[in-house]
Amino acid sequence: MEIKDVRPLALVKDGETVKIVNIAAGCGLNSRLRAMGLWPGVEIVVVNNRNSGAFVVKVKESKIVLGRGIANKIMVS
Amino acid sequence: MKKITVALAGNPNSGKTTVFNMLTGARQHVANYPGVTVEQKEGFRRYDGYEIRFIDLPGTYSLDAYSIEELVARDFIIDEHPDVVVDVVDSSNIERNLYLATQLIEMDVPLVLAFNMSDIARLNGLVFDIDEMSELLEAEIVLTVGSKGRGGNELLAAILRTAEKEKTKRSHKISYGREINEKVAELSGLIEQIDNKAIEKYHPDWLAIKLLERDKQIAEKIKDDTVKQKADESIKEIKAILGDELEVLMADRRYGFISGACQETIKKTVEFRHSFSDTIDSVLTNQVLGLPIFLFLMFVVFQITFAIGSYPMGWLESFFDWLCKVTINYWPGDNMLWLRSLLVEGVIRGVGGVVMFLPNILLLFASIAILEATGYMARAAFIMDRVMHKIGLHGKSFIPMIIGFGCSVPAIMATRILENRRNRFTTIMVIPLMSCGAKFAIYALLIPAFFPLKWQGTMLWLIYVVGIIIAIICVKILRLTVFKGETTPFVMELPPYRMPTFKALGLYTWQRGWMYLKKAGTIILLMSIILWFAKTYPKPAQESLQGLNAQQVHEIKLSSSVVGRIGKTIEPAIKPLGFDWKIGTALVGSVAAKELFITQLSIVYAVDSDAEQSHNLRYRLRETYTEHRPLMGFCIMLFCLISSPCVATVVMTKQETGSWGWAMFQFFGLTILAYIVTLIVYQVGILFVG
Repeated sequence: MEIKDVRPLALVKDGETVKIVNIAAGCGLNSRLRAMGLWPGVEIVVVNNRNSGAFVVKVKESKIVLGRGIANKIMVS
Repeated sequence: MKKITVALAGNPNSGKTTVFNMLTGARQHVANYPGVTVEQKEGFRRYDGYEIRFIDLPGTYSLDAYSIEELVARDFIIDEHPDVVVDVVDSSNIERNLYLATQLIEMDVPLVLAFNMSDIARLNGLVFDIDEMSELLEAEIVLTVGSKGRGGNELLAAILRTAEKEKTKRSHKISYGREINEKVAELSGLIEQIDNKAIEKYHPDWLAIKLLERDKQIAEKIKDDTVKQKADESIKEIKAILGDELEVLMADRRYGFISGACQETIKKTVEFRHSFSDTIDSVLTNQVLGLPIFLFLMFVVFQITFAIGSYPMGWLESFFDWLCKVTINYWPGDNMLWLRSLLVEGVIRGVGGVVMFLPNILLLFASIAILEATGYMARAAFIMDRVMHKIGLHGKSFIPMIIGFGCSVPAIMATRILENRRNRFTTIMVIPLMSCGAKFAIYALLIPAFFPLKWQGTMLWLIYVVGIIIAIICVKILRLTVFKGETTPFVMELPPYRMPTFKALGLYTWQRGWMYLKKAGTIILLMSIILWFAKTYPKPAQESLQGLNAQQVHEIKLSSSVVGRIGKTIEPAIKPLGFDWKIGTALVGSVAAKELFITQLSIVYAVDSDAEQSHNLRYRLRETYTEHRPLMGFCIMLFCLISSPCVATVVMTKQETGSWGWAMFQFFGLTILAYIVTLIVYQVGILFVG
């Protein structure tokens, strides 16, 4: 994994598949994201990053809406 | 007969409620968990010599105690020691759903897994090796389809087998890797030595795991400092050795365990296709079409509620008219005429005026239930996020607001899904602006009385939209002043689209409708009687009534009563809004419960115990207000929409915000706002209509 490929999730375009590298969120939010299946190492597909509002990703079989704020805190490659 | 308690746990959208309905039938009732306002559903079932009590725990993704729901679910399992815990798993999304199961396994509870929605899993090409998986997870597994009632008996049998089984310690729980396993064992041993009290309720291994995960709630329960110190040291050591946060590593192991178990036991026979849900989503959450579709759907909901609901409403209305006539005609002579008047004008008209709207309320709740059960509600929150974000809330706040269209009380309870206090309080403050079922009843009465037929549907839609717009403005102001600060992160699942079952819809609608009826039978009945006395006494002097016609007599009697006096007192204040004192009295009455606005109007307008002249209320309103009728009607609705929330809402706001201050802020703030807005609308409107 090359370091230069690491970027915030918010910059990923529709339809791309990426791998989570790091989540820089607080303890509580971290545990919630984990329980929903988002933690370093998993592959996610960006479903909807078209509008300026929330952001939709697909992890395994579930679709999850993330606010812009979180999408900036999740680093992917 | 042996009695056992079974708790149902599971992720949101795993179909837990349909499984609960399948297991218990209609034998269930809704209550609150003691101390908090999370709803607890309880149901009973007799099976094979057992009386089984089922508890439907709130839907959670984990038992980490991040939200109140998670805490409630966890505390129930720990404190009540259910004989069996059933984890309802969405088997078409197995890996994520099993995360909760791993936490239940760690707690070492007697566990049965219901692999629900197994029909969808099969359609997606998943084949499970149940025996193998059951061995790995050390729990019985049953395939179910809750929505079609399949697998219920098998699940009951598995529950009983698990309850009867001698409790044995699980052999190979999830392994966290050598280093962490050692720390868990050390800490667990230490807890067992020192803290005898804690391990009465909790498994020492589980306590150790939670301490290592820095669970605040558990840390508070451990009184001993040596244990805490040891836990802190262990966390540091692990970080030094493995270079990562301990809770991240543990989650990693849990998912590792799950994915290992799944790889061994699940075969995928079909490759993943573009799913049905994705296709629908590409339209419904489309950047351009999403918002118009949402607004259109709302419009349809209100049209249906009004158009279809008007037929049964008419029948109920005729029924109560008939009941009044019968009571008057068959009254024995001239005895106790006051009692006849109390029965007819107070009880039948008062309660009947509210019960009449039951069909509309049922239709409205059914519509909300359909939106919720199909999965559209989460999309609506997503679509609205763009708008909501601009005013400083996120899309999730929209869900309690939509529930607010049914009733403010559950809506305020539903704000618990918002983790941030500022977001939550802001949402609570504006929820009364979402026109609830009771306000709907007011609109349903006033719209046909004040507007021509072709405007009626549009007017109803308009008043709802006005409420939403005012709410948006209020939020913006609140977020810039009282609740200033950052918004919290927004995370929400978009569940797959599903066909709701009639049983689930029916039960939900019935439970809400029953609450409405209960309110009509208790508080509204009581208030109707009180209001009747208030409008009847004190009576005017007999001589002042001589030589007047019936209408004039009624007017004089009313204005000398308590109600009339209050109305007259506030008349100067409400005159600039276009309201007379009769409407004023109805507004005063509506503070106790919004429905009482109708009750009060019915009582005020009924001509004293004279069957010939007791026309229906709408007719009387039309007869009374001839000038600027649409403008007046709109102003009354506007004032009812914005002004003081009902007593139940005030109490709920107090409970959820923890202070009377916020409840009063909401109560007076909204009332003052209502006054200002209505004043402007009426005064500007009058310029145009002359």
